[in-house]
Amino acid sequence: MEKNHNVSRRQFLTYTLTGVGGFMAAGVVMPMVRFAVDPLLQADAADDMVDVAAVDELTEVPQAYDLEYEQDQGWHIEQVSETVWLFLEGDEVVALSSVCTHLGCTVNWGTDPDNPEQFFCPCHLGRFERDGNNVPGTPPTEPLHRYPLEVRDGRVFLGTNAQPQI
Amino acid sequence: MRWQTTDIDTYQQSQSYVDTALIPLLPVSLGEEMKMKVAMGEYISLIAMEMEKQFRGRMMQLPPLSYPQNEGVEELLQHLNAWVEELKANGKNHIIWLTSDPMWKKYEDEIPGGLLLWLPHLPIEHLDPQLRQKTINDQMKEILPTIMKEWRQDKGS
Repeated sequence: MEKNHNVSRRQFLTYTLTGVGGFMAAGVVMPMVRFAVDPLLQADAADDMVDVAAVDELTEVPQAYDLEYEQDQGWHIEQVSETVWLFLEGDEVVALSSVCTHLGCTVNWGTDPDNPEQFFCPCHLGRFERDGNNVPGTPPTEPLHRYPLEVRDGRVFLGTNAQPQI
Repeated sequence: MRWQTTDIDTYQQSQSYVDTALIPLLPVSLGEEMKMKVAMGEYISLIAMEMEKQFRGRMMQLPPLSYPQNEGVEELLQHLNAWVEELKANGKNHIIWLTSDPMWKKYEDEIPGGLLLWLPHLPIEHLDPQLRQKTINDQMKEILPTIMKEWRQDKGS
């Protein structure tokens, strides 16, 4: 009679211990896996683009717009506001950073009376062409940075990381 | 540039380009005029931040100089002179004192070092953020020519 059990005592113990052990192991490993994978799940938020302007407001003449977003500084969240120069080049929208590539002052369009068709930096008289190229002989050594850009439903969306043009 | 470790490396590499110091002058009082002084300080700090953003490659924003309202002008001017000495010795030929304390208006000629940028205090703390930003931007447009004028003076030194 004893030998007719479908599950022997030894098998029963093996199953139970494997089962319980499995749960315990999972309890330890799962959080570790979750932590390891976390940066991948967060990556989406980093390349979120920001709505800045409507395409039909834009002209051939560069206009200043504010790019506003939040930046996590670890201990607090900083509200960042950057000035962006937007204009049309044919049908293409161009978004140039307003940060002078010399020492970081803010450049303006056409404020130098002698060069009304250029970007001008008031600090050390640096100048840039309309396409952002630095004018040789002025302090800046590289073109104004460009924002990655997408047009969705007639609105201009910008990435928050302006890229060097060279 | 700001008074921050992250900016100081850039500063040390390009010191000769940074010939301007920005120092806000903030009166402090805990008496009747306390609220007014707080609003004033907030406004001036915002303007200072905005100026730093605009001119960061040529301007060093120093910590504000605060003083109790009852401090005598003589002592304050003496203190300012000590600042000017330190700054001039380090090549800061343009010193911009930024304030909306009406007291300084009377002593404009006696202030050492460069430019007293006196701005009337605007009560922007009641405005919504967008309007506030616009007010500050408008104020900046008025400040820009003043700074450019200051920079055009004694270029050689």
